[in-house]
Amino acid sequence: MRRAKPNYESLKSLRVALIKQGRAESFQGFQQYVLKAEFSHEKHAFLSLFAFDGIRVSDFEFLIKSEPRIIDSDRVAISWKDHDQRTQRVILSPMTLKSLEHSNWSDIANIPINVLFDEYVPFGGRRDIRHQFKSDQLAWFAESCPGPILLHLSGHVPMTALPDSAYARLLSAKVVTDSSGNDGTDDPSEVISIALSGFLESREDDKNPGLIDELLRICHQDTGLGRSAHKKCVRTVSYARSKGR
Amino acid sequence: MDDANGFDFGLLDFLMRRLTANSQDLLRLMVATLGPLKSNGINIKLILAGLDRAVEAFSKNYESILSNEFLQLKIQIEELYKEVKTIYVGFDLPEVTAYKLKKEFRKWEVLVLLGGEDEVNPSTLEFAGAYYALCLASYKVSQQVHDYIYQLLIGDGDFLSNTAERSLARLIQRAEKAFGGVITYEGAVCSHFHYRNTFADNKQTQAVRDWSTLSEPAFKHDAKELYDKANRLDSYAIAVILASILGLPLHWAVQTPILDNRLENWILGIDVAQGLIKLDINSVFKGRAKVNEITSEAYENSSSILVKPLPRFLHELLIELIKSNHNNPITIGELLNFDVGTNKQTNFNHSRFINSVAKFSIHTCRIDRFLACVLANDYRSITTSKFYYTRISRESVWNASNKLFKEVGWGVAAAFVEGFSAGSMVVPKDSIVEEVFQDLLCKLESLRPPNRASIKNLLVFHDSFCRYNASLAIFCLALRNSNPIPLQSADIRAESRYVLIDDKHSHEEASLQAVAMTNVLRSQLDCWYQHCVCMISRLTKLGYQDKKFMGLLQGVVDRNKTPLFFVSKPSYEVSVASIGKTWSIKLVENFARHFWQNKFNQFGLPSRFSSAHLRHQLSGCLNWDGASDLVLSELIKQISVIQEKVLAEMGIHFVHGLAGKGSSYAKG
Repeated sequence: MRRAKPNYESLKSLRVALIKQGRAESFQGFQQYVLKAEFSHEKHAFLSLFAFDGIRVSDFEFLIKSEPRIIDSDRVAISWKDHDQRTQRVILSPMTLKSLEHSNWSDIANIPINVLFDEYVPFGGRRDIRHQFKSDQLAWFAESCPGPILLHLSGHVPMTALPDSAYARLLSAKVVTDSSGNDGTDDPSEVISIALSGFLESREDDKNPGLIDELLRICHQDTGLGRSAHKKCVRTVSYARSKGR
Repeated sequence: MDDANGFDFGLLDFLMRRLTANSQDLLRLMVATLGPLKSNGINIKLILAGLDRAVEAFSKNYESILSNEFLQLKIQIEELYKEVKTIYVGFDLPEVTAYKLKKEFRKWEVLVLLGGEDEVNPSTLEFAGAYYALCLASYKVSQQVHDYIYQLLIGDGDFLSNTAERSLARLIQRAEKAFGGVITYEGAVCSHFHYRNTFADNKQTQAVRDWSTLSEPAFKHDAKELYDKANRLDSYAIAVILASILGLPLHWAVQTPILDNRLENWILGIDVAQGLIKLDINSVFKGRAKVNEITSEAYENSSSILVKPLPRFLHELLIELIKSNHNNPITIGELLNFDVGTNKQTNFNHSRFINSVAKFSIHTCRIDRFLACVLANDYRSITTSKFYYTRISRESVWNASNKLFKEVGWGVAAAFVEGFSAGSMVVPKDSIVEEVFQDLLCKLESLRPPNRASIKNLLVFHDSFCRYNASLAIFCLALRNSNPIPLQSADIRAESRYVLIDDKHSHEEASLQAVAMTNVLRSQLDCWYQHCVCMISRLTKLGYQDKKFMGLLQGVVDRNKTPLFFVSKPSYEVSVASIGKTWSIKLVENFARHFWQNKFNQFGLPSRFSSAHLRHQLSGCLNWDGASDLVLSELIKQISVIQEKVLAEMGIHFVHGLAGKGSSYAKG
């Protein structure tokens, strides 16, 4: 289903509106608490995911289906597909990694989400603690993240991370085969297809799968993806639009 | 009024009877266009002086006015003014405006102000000239325009919204079109920079590379090609390179004067002997704060001429050309023997090249956005107010120029020439700011009341303490000259390291912006809070009755939506200007904005951070919107480090009020 277009006018002041609530301090209090309190390693890692890694409550049920992976010499990331089937990836913070070293991921994944809310009660009050946690976390994002990331985290303009295989290529600057193969995006035509769909979606030109196929064909013909391919693509899109397709 | 002279029907009637038919017509036309005028006690002579002055200022920018309509109108105005002056002298009429004009007479009041003020900003005069000329020639003009001009006249120009600024720019364009003005080089340069800045779209304010600019490799390729051709003395290549640094379309760039041969009025020119481009900022960015002679010693030396170097190779080429040309050429076109019409090279898009310089400097050379725009004379990606506050040092311009020229393969910049920094004339010296705060502190300590002080002593101390607190807030938060100070008790939270301020409502909801609060200011506001707690307790004990004042004190304690700073006497609330009057040295009210802009530059803070703290933003490039990469916590860190250091160096620190030492807002 097509996502409704965001109201860009209201997004101009979203960050200030969140900052104005002044709730980030409560969340920072919770962060201090997670740092200082003595929990089991599993529980600490679990809380740390929300306190320091920017994991949202809605992400957790999808995130526990995948596992953290080392992405280069000193960084560990976890990637998952969210409810919109968008790939998400977070590089874990040192606080979380420290606890992860001494715990099993499966144990962390089994911790019920209510544990988080119970721990948050002293900072958010008892009334609808789930909602309070979410809004306090968002207020903290507003102070700690640049605008585009905030819009992604608030769900207004969600972004999609690169598939694991493409990200691995980006990091190593060479072609790397993803051994797990869970993305299934090694096929160049599929990568182009994803990119084209994203591009056409923003222009609302993605209604016709046949159009995408035609554009793919042009791209494959012109492997350099140079100016001529671009012109052909634009021409094809205009033609399809003029025919109401 | 004098019955013997026939004043019975008011001054207008009196004048009408003595004017020639033409002048009568114009005066009637004025009344019909600008609305009825209650003539008793109004100075018609002053009104006409204002009108004459404004129309004259508008026509000055144009080489010739083609429209007879305008010329006739101008002559008519001059004649009417002359006749009215004669009548005023002949009958010894009173030259006063006896009452404050109501809003419905605003169109007349603008003329009164224009006629009465000694120094009116030239651009305000132009706007007024265009407005009244259009009105009197029966063209339709936006209803609000005279209000905008009024705002400019009473010094509220800082608070004009973007819509207002655009309306004013459009007004000039309309007048230009209606009266068929042929613009002078100086007028064209001013208009070019002004309109490009005012009408820049979002992509341009964001300095995005789009179809109107060249890609990095294409820009480098073209630059290399131009360099090679210029070295072969190709006049077109030299002209394009010059146009790209002058930031002008090619046909205007070739009309740029050579300052070695033309000494009279100029606003942009090339000094061939020294290899410099000189721009008079005062003429291009009008309305900058001027130095009062009495307080000029308080400010850093600054020039209004912005100087930047040519590439050295171009400097040498121009010297060669000027030596070989014995006709004393006045413009670049004459020196190069170049005419745009005959030298059009269709395969080279010089406009795209000229358009790309600022973006190339920002994206490829990683030059700070403000300096990049200065180098390219392309001010679409910055707010012009940056020019009101910044002093641009020659060293920074030369460094940035070297970086740019090296990157595009044009070698190095012409030899460095010593000189004043250009830009703001009212950047206060550190020692002066220090003196102001020391004086406030001394006064405060001399008034500190004993434990059994009377109500009067307590209130006097409170007022003095309020002035210190407000001054520190004005200074650290770089507040604009606003009335009242735009801070409420509810805005200040105990743990917060920032405060949200909207002191220029030009971008609707996005006008509210986060400003970093340094530790000194936070501690000072702690002390203010404790002071208010203590004042309530002591005044209650002494039976003080002023409910409004007690309510304001309580408002601070309860963090209500009441003014944060207030004195003990009506009207209680304080404005930036009223606080400014108490400073031992009369600095401009918004001196902190000039001061911090330059301190931040000295510390090498990127301009996007200084813009965020000083609340400079452009439509499409808002500081805190979804597309902005600014991070609040990062901003607070960057600003606080610099402010703490500067405040410590100047010995400015927080001071306790009535409460004892060790009290804290957070504890409270």
